Order: sequence, then C-alpha cells, then structure tokens
Amino acid sequence: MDFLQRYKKWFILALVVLSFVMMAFTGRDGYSQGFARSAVGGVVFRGQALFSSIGNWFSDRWNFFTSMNELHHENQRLLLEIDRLNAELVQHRHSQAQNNDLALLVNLHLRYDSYAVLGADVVSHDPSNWLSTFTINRGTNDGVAVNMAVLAPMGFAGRISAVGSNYAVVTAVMEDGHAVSAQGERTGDTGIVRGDVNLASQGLLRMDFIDTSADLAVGDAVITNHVSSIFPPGILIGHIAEMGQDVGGMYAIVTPAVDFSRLPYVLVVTDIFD
Amino acid sequence: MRILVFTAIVILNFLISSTWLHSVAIWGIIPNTTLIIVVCYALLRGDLEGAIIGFCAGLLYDLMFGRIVGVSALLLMMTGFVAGKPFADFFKENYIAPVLLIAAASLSYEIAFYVINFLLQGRTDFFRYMGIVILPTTAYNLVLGIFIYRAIYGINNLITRREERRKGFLK
Repeated sequence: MDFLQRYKKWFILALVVLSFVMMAFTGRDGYSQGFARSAVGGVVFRGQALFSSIGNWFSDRWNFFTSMNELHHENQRLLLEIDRLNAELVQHRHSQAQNNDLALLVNLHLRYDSYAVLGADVVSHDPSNWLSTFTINRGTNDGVAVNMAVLAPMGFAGRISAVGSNYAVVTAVMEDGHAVSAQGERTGDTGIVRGDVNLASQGLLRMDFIDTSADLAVGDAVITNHVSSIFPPGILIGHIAEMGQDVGGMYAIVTPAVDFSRLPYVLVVTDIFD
Repeated sequence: MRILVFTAIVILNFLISSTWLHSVAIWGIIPNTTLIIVVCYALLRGDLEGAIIGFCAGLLYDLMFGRIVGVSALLLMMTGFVAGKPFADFFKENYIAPVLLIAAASLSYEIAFYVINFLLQGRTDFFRYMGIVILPTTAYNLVLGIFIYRAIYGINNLITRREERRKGFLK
C-alpha cells in the first residue's frame, strides 16, 4: 500500500488506461468472447445460481402460504377455461387438417413450423436500472451460441448476447436499443419493435417505422417476421396497445406477450437462421 | 484482512444484487448497492483505496452484464477516487456528509452511465431518462445509503481496532 500511495498518480492513470484498453478490445457489437469474460463469468455464475436457488426456495415457501385462496379461485376459472379451450381445439384441429391439405395443394413449403429448443432457468438479472439483461444456466456446453433467439412460454423474449461454457447472457427485447424486425399478424404490415427504458418501466415496447398506409389497429398481434436475419419468423412478440403518429411517422405501443418481471425459465432456439 | 473482508463484501453484494434485489424493486427501480458500497468505503479509506475497490467492483459487473467491458470499471473507479478525496477530514460519525456524498455520486454516476451507453447512441431524451431512471435510483440509493454506511462504518472500525490491537501486542 505504501508503494502504491507513493506512485498514486501513476497507478490511477494506469487503471484509467487499462479501462480504455478493455473498452477498445470489447469489439463493436459490445460482446466479445474474451477469455477473462468467460473465465470470471463462469465462476461468478455458480455463485449466482446458488443465490438464485436459495431465493427461489424462500419465495416458493412464501407463495405457498400467501396464494392459497387465490389459487382456489384461479383453479375454478381454469377449469372453465379448459372446457372452452377443448371446444376450440376441436375446431382448430379441423382447420389444421384443412390447412395441411391446402398447403399440399399449393406446394407451400413450411420452413419453420417447428424449431429445436432447449429449456433453461433464468438465474440472475442485471442489477442496474438501465439494462434488461439476464443470465440463464445453459452455455456452449449445451450448444448455445450468440444471437440465438430466446423464447418464453408466451412469446418472444430476446436473444443470446454473450455465452460462457456453463451460462449465457440474454438481452431481453425490452432492452433499450434492442430492435426486432416485426409485422402485424392480421395485416402483414412491417415495422421495427424496440425496447425503450422509459416504456420498459411500464412494461411496454415500441414499434417504429410503420408505413403510413398500414392498417394496424389496437389489439392486433405483433409477430417476428422473415426479414430478421437471426430470429425465426412467426413468433408472438405482443399486442398493440396504442397507435400514434409523430415526426418519425406511425408508431405503436406494444404490450409484450412475455411478463419479464416474472420469468422463471426460457427456451433457447438452437437453430440458427442466418 | 481488510482486503479479504471487502473482497467478500463486493462479491457477495454482486451476487445478491443480481439475484434477490429485484424483489425489493419500487416501481421497477432497484438501488445501486455497488455504488453505495464503493462510496462508503472510499469515504472511510481515502481516494487510492476507493479507486481500487471501484475499479474491481465495476469490472465484475462489466464482465457479467456490461455492454462494453471497462465502462463501469472506469466510472466506479472515478467515483471511488473522488469520493475518497476531500471528505477525509469530515466527521465520519456524522450522517449528513456521507448521505449527501452518496446522493451526489449516484446522480453523477447514473448521468455518466446514460451519456456513455445511451446519449452516445443517439438517445437524446435526457429529461425522460432523468425522471424515470436517474432521480428515482438516486432517491432509493440515498435512503438505503444510510443503512449501508452504518454497516460499512462498523465493519471498518472493527477491522481497524483489530489491527491496532495486533500492532500493540507486537510492541
């Protein structure tokens, strides 16, 4: 310490230079696969996994006692829902069979009707209020690679932005600056869905670059489209909550299908769509 | 001894803040406990040690979550360095100086984070970011900072007394 104290100025200067060197070596897309990153990340991740499981244990116990009454009502509601869905399923099967026949008829090649997916637990979240990044317990050992799409049970969640041997970092669709090529399911009008810190705090997304002649309406489903080079098309992102117009043209506020505040596990699409 | 204890505190804080802290979010805002710890430590131990702890804590965050490795390391190092500087002679038992310092550090840290990660990428909507992220985080840090300062102060005192006792024993 005395030695450092004597050369304090130089030491601080060295740290500053070191910071800039690291920034320069991170690479343009932000996430390089640096040795230090995966080495430190792999170890730190084990700690996070431990803390996460302890936290889950307590919240499970807590939920068990607090949600009894709620669960009873929900159960009643779900039973009714099952009846309704069963009826719908019959109809759906019928139209699916019809669809298959017609698809064969027009020789339509359904390229992405199913994807290879891998389940993963969400372990930790970015501890700042700026980024909507989280880590999952699958890495290169399980075949996960950067830019793979990440789905939640309800819809599109984000993409893999960094990966270590036993963990991966997911950039959520809510993250500011993260953009996904999308389209309205009903009309096929295209746009770019992106995260925005200001909307993210209310749990919302924004869809930009919508053609002024577009026929989108509140309540329309928004799905990923084939323009994207990395995401599979046809995955539900959310529903339009509000349409508006500003200097940039038409925009829409989108309620994401995925509840990011409660996301215990995700699915990684291990097919690459380049 | 001191290095060991505070390394453990920094790592423990990182693990807790990335896993449990999200369940105490108020309106989606969580406090920046890392920043509070760095400022408190710098306040008690001076600029050099403040810079070192800031650099290490920032690097840990960068390696796990950061968009660009080195940004948080640099920012937290500067925060620790400045926080440890002119305040060394303040009454450390007094709460007003540390709390004000934590608030000032949070404000400047969050603004710098915004400038580097958002403004430079064309997000010029400063006042909305200010109202939705920067000010609430600062307020939360300020309140939580009182308790964390108390804890760090206690731990630091304990270690100092132990070291002094050992020195006296050797004499």
